Amino acid sequence: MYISMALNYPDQVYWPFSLELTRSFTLYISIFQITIFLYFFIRYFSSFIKKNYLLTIAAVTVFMGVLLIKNYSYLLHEPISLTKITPVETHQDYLKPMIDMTVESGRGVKYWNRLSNNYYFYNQGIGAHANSIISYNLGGRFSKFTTDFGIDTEAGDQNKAIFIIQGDGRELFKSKPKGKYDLPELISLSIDKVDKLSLIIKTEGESNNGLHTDWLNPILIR
Amino acid sequence: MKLSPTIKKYLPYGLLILIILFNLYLYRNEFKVTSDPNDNSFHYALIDEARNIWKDVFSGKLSPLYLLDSWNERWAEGFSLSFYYSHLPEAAISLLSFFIPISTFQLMVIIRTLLLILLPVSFFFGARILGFSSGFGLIFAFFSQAIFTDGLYGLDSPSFLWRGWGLSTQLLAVFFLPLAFAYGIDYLKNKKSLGKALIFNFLLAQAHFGMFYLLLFAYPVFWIFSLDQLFEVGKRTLIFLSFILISLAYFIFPFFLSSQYRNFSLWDPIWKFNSWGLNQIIIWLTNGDLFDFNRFPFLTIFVIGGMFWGLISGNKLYRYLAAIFSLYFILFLGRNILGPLVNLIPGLSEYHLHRVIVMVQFTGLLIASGWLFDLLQSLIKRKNIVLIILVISLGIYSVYLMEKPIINYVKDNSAWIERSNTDYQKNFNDYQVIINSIKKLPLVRVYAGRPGNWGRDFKIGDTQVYMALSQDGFPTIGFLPQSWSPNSDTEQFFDEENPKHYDLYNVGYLVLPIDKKPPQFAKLIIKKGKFSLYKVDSEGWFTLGKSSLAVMTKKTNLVNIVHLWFYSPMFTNKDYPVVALNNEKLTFVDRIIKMSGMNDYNNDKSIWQVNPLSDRQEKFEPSIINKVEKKIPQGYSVNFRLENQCENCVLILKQTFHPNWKILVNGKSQEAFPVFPFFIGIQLNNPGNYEIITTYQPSTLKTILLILGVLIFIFAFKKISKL
Repeated sequence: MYISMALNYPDQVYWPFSLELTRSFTLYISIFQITIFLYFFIRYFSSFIKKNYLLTIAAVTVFMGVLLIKNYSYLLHEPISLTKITPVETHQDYLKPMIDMTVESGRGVKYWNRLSNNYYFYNQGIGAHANSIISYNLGGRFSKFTTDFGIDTEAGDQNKAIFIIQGDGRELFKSKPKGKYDLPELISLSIDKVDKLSLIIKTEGESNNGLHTDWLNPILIR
Repeated sequence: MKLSPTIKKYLPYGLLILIILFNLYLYRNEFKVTSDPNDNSFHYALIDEARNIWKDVFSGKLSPLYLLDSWNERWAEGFSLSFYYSHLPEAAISLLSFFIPISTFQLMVIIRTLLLILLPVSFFFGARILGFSSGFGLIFAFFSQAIFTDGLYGLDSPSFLWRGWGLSTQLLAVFFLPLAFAYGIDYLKNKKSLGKALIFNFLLAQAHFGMFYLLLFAYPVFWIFSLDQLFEVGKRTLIFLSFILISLAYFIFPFFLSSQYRNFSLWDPIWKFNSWGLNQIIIWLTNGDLFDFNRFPFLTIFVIGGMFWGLISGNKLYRYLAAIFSLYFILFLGRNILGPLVNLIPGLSEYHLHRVIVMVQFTGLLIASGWLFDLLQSLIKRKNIVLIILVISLGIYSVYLMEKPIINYVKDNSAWIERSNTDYQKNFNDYQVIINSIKKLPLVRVYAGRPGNWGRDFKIGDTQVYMALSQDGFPTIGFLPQSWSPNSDTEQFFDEENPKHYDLYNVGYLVLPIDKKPPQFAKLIIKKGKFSLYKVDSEGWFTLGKSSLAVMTKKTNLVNIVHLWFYSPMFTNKDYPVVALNNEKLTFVDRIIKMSGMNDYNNDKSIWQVNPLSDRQEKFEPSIINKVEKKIPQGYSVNFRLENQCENCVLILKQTFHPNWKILVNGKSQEAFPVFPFFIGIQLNNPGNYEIITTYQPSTLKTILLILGVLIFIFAFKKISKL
């Protein structure tokens, strides 16, 4: 209840709780619930499991296999796309951040569009809109973060944006103002021991109209 | 109330004729079309192209094999389209056009309209072959005509009518689909009609390979539903699929083996490849938009009801139909739901999954017909006259409600056809003057805008001029009716204000609206009506350049680096990097990079950090003199003199590279290779006189497989079909 209240009324979350903490709690609560479920399942269905132990083993193997396949990059210390991780906080002035698509795609399927900057295409990334903040709880598990960034091809050509990356509230990077016809830029940062990584986009100037901005190919390295 | 057996027997056929007559009346204005605003322009261009090949075949200039595999240079710098796409229907229609005294365009219009009108016939007989009664068949036939969506590319009229998408080949395929499926199941179930099953599946594949490929999934599922005859049905499934594979081997194997020369387009919308996703499809299904757009969800109710009816039914065939409906529905949910699992199925990684809607609708209509027929039968059994009269009245009213949005759609369609025809007639003579002028001039590419700029509104009738020109046989740039040429995506970066881009693509003519200001370097040839024709000097089909860099890459990582090349010193200096799709080791280049992503190379470098194309260039000096180019059937030839010794020199033919191009340099065969953007490169070093002949030749593998297929059918079909 506290978590749902925190999500709906973030301004009423008081110390020692925080929005990030409550969201992280959902994970631990889920693990706890699954454990309880497994305990009762095994206890009350033990006779079924004994009779169909091969089927049970197969089901568990498939489940574990899927888990492994989905997380093998992390386990093998390979680079992971940030797009695979759910943010703990998002705020944006227009629509919502879109994974591997432009922000306008959030209007519906017929608006789905690939990420690109000056028609230079990207398969992975986050389609955002200034002003925007997207935060991830990384728990200090990664050492390096690389990403391209720029204004999307579908943006209007009037306004400019600044791209900022923060680690635990500390500014790690701030770009120069970028406009529609600027080419994408690459940035590579150390994020050693960073718990909370925030990707921030701010309007440079007065208007954020049509300011479709992209974090392109964002990668975390352990 | 008892009907005589004769009436009972013939009533469904009478009602079927009524549906056809209704269709004939409904779609009568489709026969009057004089120009198309959609994909039908592309389909007509393919028929026209096949007609040209027939002419060359009749005059002995080309072998008939070119009807199966030829070079089509009307779009995207040329492409071996028939290597990958429907070709026999085009060859058949164009052959017919030599014997029927109407224009090829009119013939195509008549054929496609008749197919649409007669579609219910194929559905009716499909149901009958599956073993269902005439009543079932009639409902199925009616549903095939009554389905309606907001243009979701399915079985409904917005896919086929003039104002719709213009999916002529899909229409032909949908016509064959019920018969192909029914005969296929008839063979697997009853060991009957193997020949017919093969013929109709072959025809389906020839009309639309993608749809046939989807249907293939349905046959092994039938085997799973025949566990009581596991061995017998398994054997039949194997025989059937093997014969299908043999009959289409000439198409299938080269299709898959040369897929790296088939573009995966980033200009195509994401939903085409990925389909619409779980949320959207469930919303559409529950809103009734997958079967009943803009009306009460009659069909949707029967499809969902039919699904449960099929699943709980004791009848194996009904259960099977419900199962394949579920299978196609899950596949239709798309890549976002199924993830990499879809890519594991050969051919599906680049498949436009949104087109699975055809199979969802086809199998959906089957189960909907089954449930409705079952309900009506139980009603008749109750022998309650009042109830029957009530249901008949309700049924007639429902038919009226179902047809209403379709009739409204067709009404607008007819009005717009009329308007388009008037405009076409008004501008026809002026347009003819323009194209006759181009025909008298040397052959080079023509530019008349593109869908993303002023070209979209520059039309004759309702056909954009760039489409009309390609229909009339001119090589054009800017319009992509299909995007399978590896030049398709980067061609869109053609800049009409940059003279170097005219050189790059050998664009020599501009057709512009009369009020459009031409580029400064364009010279007026003629103005007529709303059209103006300009000439731009370009280098011709062949040019001399060099290749100092080789780019090892997958086809999907090529687009950004080629785009970057357009704005690099290499481009200005005529340095065309070699594309090494198979990691070829090229000794004549100075540098090699390996793309590891669309924006990365050599594993850890970004093209935005260290641009691999920005190296300082020494000015490219060598040149060729006395160049004489000639167009030959399915190719080009050139004579010239190379003055100096030339390191890294490459002669570039401005046609899309494909391994089927054969190159003769002074009579000796020489390997060609792709160079940026994806043109044909021929290495040259020594000074001297050159005669170079380049021709596209049908694939040898295709020819061998075709002959083998025919031989196997002649010698083995009778023996094996008796097994």
